[in-house]
Amino acid sequence: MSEYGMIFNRPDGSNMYNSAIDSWSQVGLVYINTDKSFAYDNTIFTNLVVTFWFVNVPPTTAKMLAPSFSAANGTIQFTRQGFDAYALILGR
Amino acid sequence: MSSGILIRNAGNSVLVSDAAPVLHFRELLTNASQVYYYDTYGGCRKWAYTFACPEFPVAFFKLSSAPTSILRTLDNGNGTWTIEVIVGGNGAAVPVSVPATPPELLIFTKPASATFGTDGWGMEVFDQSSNIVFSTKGRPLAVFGASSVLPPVPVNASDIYPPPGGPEGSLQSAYCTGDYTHDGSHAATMQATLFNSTGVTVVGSDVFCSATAIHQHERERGYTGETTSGSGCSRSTTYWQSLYWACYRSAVRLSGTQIEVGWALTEYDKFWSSYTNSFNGWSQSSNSTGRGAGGKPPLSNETINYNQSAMLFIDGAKYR
Repeated sequence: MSEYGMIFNRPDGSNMYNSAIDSWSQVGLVYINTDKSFAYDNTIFTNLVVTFWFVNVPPTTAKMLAPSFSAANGTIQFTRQGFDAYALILGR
Repeated sequence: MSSGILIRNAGNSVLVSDAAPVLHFRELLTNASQVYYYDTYGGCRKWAYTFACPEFPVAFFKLSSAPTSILRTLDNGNGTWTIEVIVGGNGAAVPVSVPATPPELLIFTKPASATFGTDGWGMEVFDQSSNIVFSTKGRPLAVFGASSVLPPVPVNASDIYPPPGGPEGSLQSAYCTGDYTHDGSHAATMQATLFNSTGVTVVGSDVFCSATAIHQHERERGYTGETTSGSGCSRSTTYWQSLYWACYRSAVRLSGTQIEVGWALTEYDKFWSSYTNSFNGWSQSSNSTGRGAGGKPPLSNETINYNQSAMLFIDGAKYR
């Protein structure tokens, strides 16, 4: 257990959030229906992960190209590729 | 930031910021309809969860020893969504069977559509538009692990010999009839038995994962040949092709205390075609007859989206 940080417990005493363990924060949720960029504070978030959720894409019997992205200087640039997707961006 | 709130932990990680709305827990889904079940090449089940949610839902599935991932999310247009999940198996030395019940699914969404308690105490954070971005009345998404991963390098299927269903030496397209396990090496390499470690340390015994099946992979094995009937000036030759194929998506599983990423079967089938070329020596003529085809053609023999992809891990006990 960290000597400092933030812990939230439920009324029954069980843990809801512990800053010693849960160290990823949500930076943004972006709907990628076209090529687009997303700005974030790179002085706060120096490490990012991006996950994609496909929306209304073809069934498993068809090819599905995932969006691509690159991050530099506080901007994430998304390229759609062919199908709509949500991008969940986490940072720390 | 000139106003609002910014809380960091000892590692300088941002915990709560009014600039970043935190996803909150909405519901636990335990019921799903089975879209299909295959028992070939290790097997797989595809599940569909349909539920109401005013805003985009982010799903986490409960990890098991069977590789699992989220295939896609469908917006049904009436405030309901359908999330499709695939669960695979394999027949390795220590076989992985496909569970008969759907994995539990935890749904998270923006705070405005999350499930909040009625406690009159705790902590709430609002953005400059007075929208809730964090609340201890709800249950904020607490991610203990995130990893950018690649499934194992795809492997090629091995030859089938003798041909499925056909006696040795009499290869015919007609024999491409569905004995997918006829040859041991073929059946083994069409199964997804390889996994890579994600490097994530398991927290608790109730681990949920959010992983979208971005990586797509196909294996196939084709055979061609010809058989001749008749002789001399009156003969015919049949040229044939048989093709077995299977498609896979990346998927995650729990192996002891290790979280691994591999492949899960999603589709498989076979395809055959033939034509017969007849030769008449008296008239010095030939013509092609007897064209035929059957089965289901494959997609293309390739692996796409083979790039690092992020997977998120949470402790499900916080949301029960």
